[in-house]
Amino acid sequence: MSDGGADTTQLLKGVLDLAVLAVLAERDSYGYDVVRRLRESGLTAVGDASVYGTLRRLHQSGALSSYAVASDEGPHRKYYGLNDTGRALLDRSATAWLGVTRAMDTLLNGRGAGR
Amino acid sequence: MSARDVRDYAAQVSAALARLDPEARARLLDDLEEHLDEVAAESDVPLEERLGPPESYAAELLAAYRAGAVEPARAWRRSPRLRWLVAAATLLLLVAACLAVGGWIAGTRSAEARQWSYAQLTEKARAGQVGRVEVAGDSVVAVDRSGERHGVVDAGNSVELAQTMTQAGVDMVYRPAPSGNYWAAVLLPNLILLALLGPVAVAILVAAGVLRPRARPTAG
Repeated sequence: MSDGGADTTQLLKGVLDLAVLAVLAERDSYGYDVVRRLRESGLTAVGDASVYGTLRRLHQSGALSSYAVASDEGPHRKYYGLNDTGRALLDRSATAWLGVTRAMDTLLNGRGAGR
Repeated sequence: MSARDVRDYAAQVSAALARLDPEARARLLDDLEEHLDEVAAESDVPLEERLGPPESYAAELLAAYRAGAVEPARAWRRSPRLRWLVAAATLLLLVAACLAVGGWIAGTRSAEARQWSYAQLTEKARAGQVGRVEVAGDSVVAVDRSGERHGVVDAGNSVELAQTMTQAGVDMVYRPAPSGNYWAAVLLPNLILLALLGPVAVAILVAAGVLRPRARPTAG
């Protein structure tokens, strides 16, 4: 958990889909790799189960394609990647998100003084 | 991390989601074990310490899975318009059933309303058009050869009536006097019907999500 863990977790709920889509847009990944990459990019509070559930839902809703890849250690890995639906969803969500962050930046203007 | 820990943990997550329908659960947990294998491979710390109790893991997983979109099969339960449509249809059905029963009872009664006078009855009886005459308290009903029922007004003295009918070769049937009034006769079957259909209607409404059963226990 990062600083302000509970607050961050709450905020993350709304944008986890977008974060997962963004990670997969970069390159296809299997579940735990997605978790790892989200955490590496600074979303340290992201829950393993949340990512797994999000992946399954996005896959279920047709935004992700999946395929099995043999791995060196242990069984095959299920890789997820964006399909056209997923890419369109990412575009839409990213636009919406950028709108929100711009508004939030304006609203919170001046609070970043300590940066 | 042993493979058994992963199996155990996955099995407990699965058990915590037992209230999902099996197909949805299988879809959700499709590659959970493989996923947990990856998590386990990274550290020697037991899964439960890293991921928390399986029950909370299951709750978090389900919350993330259900966020935003719901399973297609259940989507209609979320749509307020459809929900009210189901509610309206159910109530309509209930009202229609009550009206049907009420109408049927009223129908039997209105047949009796095609009344004959005592003179008509005697005339028809002599002409051999009357099958039988039923006497129940003050009410006298003549049943003609085609089975149609006719209330007889001012049938008068029952002894005289019986003599006239017997002479005409019409059977007399005596029944106990009817108890209660018209409304009791119409309302009672309706109440029984409501008692039978009510739970069905409530079940449909609960399934439709219009009525909410007491809050289900939430995990985590």
